[in-house]
Amino acid sequence: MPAQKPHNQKVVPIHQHEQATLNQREFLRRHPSSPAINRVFELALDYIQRADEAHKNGQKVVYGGGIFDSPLVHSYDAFPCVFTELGRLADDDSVSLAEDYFQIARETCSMVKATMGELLKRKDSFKRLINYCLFCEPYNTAFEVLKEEGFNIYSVDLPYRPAGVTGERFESLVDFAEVELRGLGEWLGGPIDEDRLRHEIRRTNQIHEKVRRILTLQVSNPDYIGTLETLFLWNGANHHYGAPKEFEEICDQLIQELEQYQASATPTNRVPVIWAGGRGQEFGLYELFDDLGGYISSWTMTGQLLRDFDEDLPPLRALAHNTVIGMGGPGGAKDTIPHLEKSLEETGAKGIIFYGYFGCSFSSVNFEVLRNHFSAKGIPSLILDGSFQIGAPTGQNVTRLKAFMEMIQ
Amino acid sequence: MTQEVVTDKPKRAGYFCIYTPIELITAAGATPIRLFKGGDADTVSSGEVHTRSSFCQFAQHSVGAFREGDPLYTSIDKIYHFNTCDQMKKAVEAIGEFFDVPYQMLCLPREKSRESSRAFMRREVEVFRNDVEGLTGNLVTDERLSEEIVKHNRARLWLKKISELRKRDEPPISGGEFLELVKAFYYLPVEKNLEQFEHFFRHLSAQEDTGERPLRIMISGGIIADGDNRLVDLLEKELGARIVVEDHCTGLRPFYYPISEDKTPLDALSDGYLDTAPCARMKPLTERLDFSEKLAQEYRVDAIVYVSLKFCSCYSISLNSFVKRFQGVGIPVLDISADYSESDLGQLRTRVGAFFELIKKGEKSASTKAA
Ligand code: SF4
Ligand code: SF4
Repeated sequence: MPAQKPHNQKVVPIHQHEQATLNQREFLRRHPSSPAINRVFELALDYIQRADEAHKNGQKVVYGGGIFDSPLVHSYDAFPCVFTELGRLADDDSVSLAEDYFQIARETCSMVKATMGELLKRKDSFKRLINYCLFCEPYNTAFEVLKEEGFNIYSVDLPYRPAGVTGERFESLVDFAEVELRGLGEWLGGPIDEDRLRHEIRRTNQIHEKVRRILTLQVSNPDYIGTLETLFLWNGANHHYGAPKEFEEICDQLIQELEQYQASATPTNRVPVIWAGGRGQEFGLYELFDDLGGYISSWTMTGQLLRDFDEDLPPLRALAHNTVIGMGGPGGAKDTIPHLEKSLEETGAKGIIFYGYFGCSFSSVNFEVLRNHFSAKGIPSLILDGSFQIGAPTGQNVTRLKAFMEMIQ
Repeated sequence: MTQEVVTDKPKRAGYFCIYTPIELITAAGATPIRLFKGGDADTVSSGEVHTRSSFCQFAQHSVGAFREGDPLYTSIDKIYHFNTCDQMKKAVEAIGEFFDVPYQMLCLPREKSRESSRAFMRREVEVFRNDVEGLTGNLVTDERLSEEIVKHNRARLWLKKISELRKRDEPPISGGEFLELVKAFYYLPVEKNLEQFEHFFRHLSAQEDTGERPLRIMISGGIIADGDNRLVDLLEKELGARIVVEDHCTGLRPFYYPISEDKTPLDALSDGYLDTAPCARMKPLTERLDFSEKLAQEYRVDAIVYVSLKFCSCYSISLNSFVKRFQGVGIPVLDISADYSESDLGQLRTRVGAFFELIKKGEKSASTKAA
């Protein structure tokens, strides 16, 4: 029997205004979706709890391992507890705690504040944290301050890669990253076990492959799972919520669901849109987007997040290489243009949504540059300023999103 | 890549940040110009069109100056940016993108004591040298570079010596005047400055004390831009205090340590600039706090005014650590979160006035943050 359309068959209706006050963790729990996606939500929800349990059971647990370094962390049998995930499901009180305790200015981006507040609340638990110097200023400074709370922080001193850096200079950055990652390895527990690292790289690539397959199936069957669900899936594409084996099984299950669904699916009326930039946790915005008949035909960040490690390179070099390329930040706006143009062409997207967090200087100029570039080509785009941690979308974002969707339809 | 046409007129290389080894620019026959104007609210609003509101006003002002066609800024042939904070990095990208100004972004490590970071910095300095050679069409020889290092060291030393005259109970030069000398360092040819600085030093050294001892203030924190005179004027002209030392990048800080004259010139520049008295974006933060404390002790300051521009993460997030450090040594700190608008001047006057009153009464716990 073909899979049902869980995306369109909500057992518990969630209305905008109700959702505004709903604790979003509860929202995830009661959100009906595909069986596989429900498992992803469960993994996301008890991720931090599992990290704590691992710590109690004597396993090495580190904050980090989010994007480039998860194979390295796994190769030391350590549990990667990604600090951004910690902030993601945090409440407003984490933000105010960070503001009060560290006297962090209100203007600072909520992603940093939510993370800092959560880390502070948890300062009696594990305290090892991996920082990358290519992260933004707020994170780098905040982590320096956090050291005063007894956190043991290793900073991989990799600078921001300027736009258009190639050839020898690019390799020089990779050389530097390699030495720095070796240092990280020492900090994690001693010399790097290259065979083990190679194995972890292979496993991560294999999971990337499956997530890519899911995204392709999802894009051609956008009625099956919604935007928020997709986001939670690929959030875990690198850190696997600390459970690579289970995450991979879930991917297999979801592929099966989507393939079954595809067999009897009717063509969609949804409008393809590209989502560029950050992934806020204003769940209502994603719900609204779906309700307004949109679907995300490409997430720019996934392009970077799902970049395979080069298995032909020595494993540490492969890791260093991906680290230098980084996510959306390094390389500036210009590096993002080819990716966006390709996505527009391949998916026929009708517009682009640029999502950034209040107070983020990283994204703001990038978005201005990109908006300029695409509007000159007649591609409509919308810049949304949101918050990182869970919460209701602002009225302004709701109104703007509605107007944008109306326009592109 | 922009085509660089070599002409006889010296090229003008603009830069924002003190981590830029200007000796390489002069050795290549170009003129270095530090772009550090600020303080004008209209220019800020103009820059905000491209940066949006989440930027410090110095970064916005920098973009705005290009947008408004400031002649100094538009005369620049190329910008060299050793990237420090995100906002300046993004401001430079915006300037390049929206006003077609060629720029070269260079990487600046943060963990300056690591061998790997130092080796990497050296490679970036080489990239910088090659680029300035391309801009000017002149080769930078070791010999020329050594000469420039010596000259710039001498200028730095004069500024440091002039600053040290402020260690006297009655400093012969005000903080406002010292900032004028710093401007000269950044805007005028080094040869000219050498003459002037020496002359100025001799003149100031000869001044006699009258026995007065004004309230001695250190200004610390983010940039005090050329044109942002409000605070300095308030402290010195209105409230009669004396700024005896600056722990920021347009005051004494960049002149504190010389560049080694014993190493090969590229190594000297790369190590020397990494080891300059640290800005808050460098790691570890404790090293920056150590330096601030050293300066405050050395200049026997009564109090510190810590200024961070709104939206500046480097200086605002580290503020609390700063205040705690100085509470530990009994020096009160007043923190000011500033921008270039005129509206909060009255409030500023009241806060600084009240702070000074407390200090005069001998209140060591006058600090405004860090419970
Ligand atoms: S959103 Fe911007 S400011 Fe916030 S953590 Fe990310 S890069 Fe930094
Ligand atoms: S004041 Fe802060 S944000 Fe602004 S340029 Fe300086 S370090 Fe960067």
